Amino acid sequence: MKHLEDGLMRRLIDEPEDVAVTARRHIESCALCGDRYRSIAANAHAAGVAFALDAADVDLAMAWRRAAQQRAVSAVAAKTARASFVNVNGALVKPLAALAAAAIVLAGFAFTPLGSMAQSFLTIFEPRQFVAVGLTRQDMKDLGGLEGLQSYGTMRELVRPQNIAVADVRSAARISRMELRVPTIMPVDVPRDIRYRVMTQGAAAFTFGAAKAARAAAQQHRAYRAMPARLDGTTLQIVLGPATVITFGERALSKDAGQRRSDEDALPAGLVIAQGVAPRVTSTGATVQDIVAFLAEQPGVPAGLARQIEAIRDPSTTLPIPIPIDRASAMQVQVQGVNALAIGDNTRVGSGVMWQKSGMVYGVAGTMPLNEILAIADSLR
Amino acid sequence: MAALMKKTEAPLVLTPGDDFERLFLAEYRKVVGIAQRILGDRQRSEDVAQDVFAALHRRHAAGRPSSAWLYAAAAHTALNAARATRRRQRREASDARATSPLRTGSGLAADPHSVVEQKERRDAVRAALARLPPKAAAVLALRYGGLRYAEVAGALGVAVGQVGTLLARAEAAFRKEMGR
Repeated sequence: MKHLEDGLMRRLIDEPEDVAVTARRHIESCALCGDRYRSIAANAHAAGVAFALDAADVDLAMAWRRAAQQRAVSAVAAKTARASFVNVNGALVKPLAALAAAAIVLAGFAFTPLGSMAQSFLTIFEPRQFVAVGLTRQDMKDLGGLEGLQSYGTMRELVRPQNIAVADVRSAARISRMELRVPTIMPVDVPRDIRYRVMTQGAAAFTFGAAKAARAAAQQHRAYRAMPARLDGTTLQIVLGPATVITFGERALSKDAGQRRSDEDALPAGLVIAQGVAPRVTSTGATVQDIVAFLAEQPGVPAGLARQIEAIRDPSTTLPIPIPIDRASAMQVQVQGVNALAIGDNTRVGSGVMWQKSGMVYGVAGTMPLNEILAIADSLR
Repeated sequence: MAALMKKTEAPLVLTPGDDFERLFLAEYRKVVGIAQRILGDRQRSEDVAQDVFAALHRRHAAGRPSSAWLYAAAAHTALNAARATRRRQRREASDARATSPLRTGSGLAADPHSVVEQKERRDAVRAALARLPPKAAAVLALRYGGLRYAEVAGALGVAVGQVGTLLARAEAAFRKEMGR
C-alpha cells in the first residue's frame, strides 16, 4: 500500500475539492497516514489561530488616494533636479534643510540646553502663528555683536528636559504623552532610516534686573537704554515641550553634507518632522510689548529688524522667524486648514513649513522642493 | 476580491491609467493581509502595500508584472521591513515596558490587560516567524494572507503540488518555534 505524501494531506485540509476522494478513504483506513494527517492538521490549526487577525477593514478609498498622491509626488521628485552645491563668493552654500524652517527651529528650541536660551534675542511667547522677519547679512552681523539676554537678568533652570532616543512612534507617543502625527505619503527616495527623539517638558525662569543690566553695560563700555521700572524684577516663566522629532535619512541632513561638491555625491532626500506642545511664557509683570520695546530700542539692534518686530500686530501670539533674505525666502501658505509659514532656500535644495494647530506646533523640513514638503505636511495624520 | 488565478492564466499586463487603479482596488486588501501576517501592524502593513504598488507602477512599463509578483513582493518587502525593525531595535535604547494601553483608531482600549496579552501574542508570532527560513515565512504569510494554493505557487515560483509540502513543513517548524 502506498502511503500519502504530507503535501497531499495538507492540501486535503484546505482544498479537498482538488484532492482525489481516494486519498481521504486511504487516511480513514491507514493507521500510519491517519496519525500523520492528524499531526499535520494540528499544526495547521495552531498556525491558523496564530495568524488570525481582527476583521478591521482597510479603507480602500483612502489607500487609493494615498497611492495617487504618492505617484504625484514621485513624478515631481523624478523631475526635480538635485542642485549641485555651488561656491558663492568662495564659500559653500549649505543645504538649508539643516538650517531653516519649522522642524529645525522647533527642534532647536526643543533640544537647546535651557542655559543657552539666554542667548536668544527674543524669548518665546505662546505662538499661534509665525511671521518671517527678514535679516540682511549686516543685520545678522549686528545681532551677533549684541549681548545676550543674560546681561539683562538672571536665568534659572526649573525643570531640565530629557532628550531621549526611542525605537518607534508608539514609544515616542507613550513617553511624550502626545498623540503624534505621521506622514501618510512620502517621496520614494526618502531613506527609510528613521530616528525618533523625544524631548520631555522643560521649564526655566528669567528675572529682569535693571542693576545687573546697567553694570554689564558699564563693564562692556557700551551704550544702554535704562530698563523701565515695570520691567525690573519681572520674572518670565518659560515652558517648553514635550516635543518629538522624527528624522528620515539623518546622513542627508548632516552639516557636512554641504561639503559635497558634485552630483555623484548628491545625497538622498532627508526629512525632519517635529511636533510639540506650543511653548508658553508667563510673566509676573511686564507685557510682551514692554519687553519687545525695551530690547528693540537697545543700541546696536538693526533698525530694520526693530521696525519689523514692532510691526507685528499681536506679539503675544506671534513668533518671528529670522530669515536670511539673501539665501532664503518665505511666504504664508495653508497647511492642514490653517495658516503656515513656508521657507525655501534659493538653491531649491531645502525647504520647510511650520504651523500651529490646537495648541501644538508642527514643522516639516527637508532637502526637497517646497511642494513636496507641503504635500508631506498636509498628509500628517 | 480578485478572481482566482487559473494555472494557465496569462500574466496580467498593465496599461497606463485605469488598469492600475483596477488592480489596486482588487488586490490591495490581500497585499495588506499578507504583510500584516508578517508585521502584525496594520499601519506598517499598509506602508508596505503602498511601497509594493508604487514599485509595481514603476515596473509596469519595463516588464509584464502579475498578481503573483504582487503577492511575492508583499511577502518579501514585509520580511525585509521586519528584519530592519529588529536590527534598529537592537541598536537603539529600548523603551519602557510595553504595559501601557495601546492607542487604536477607536481610542484607548477598555481592557489594558487584554491589550497587553494580545500584543504579547502577536510579538511571539512575529518572533517565531522571524526565526524561520525566508521561504517558510513567506509561504505562511501568503497562505494565511488568503491566497489559494495556485496563487501561492505562482508567487513562490513553484509547482502547485509543492505548496502543500512547503506549507506542512513551515507549519511544523513554526509550531516548534512558538513552543520555545
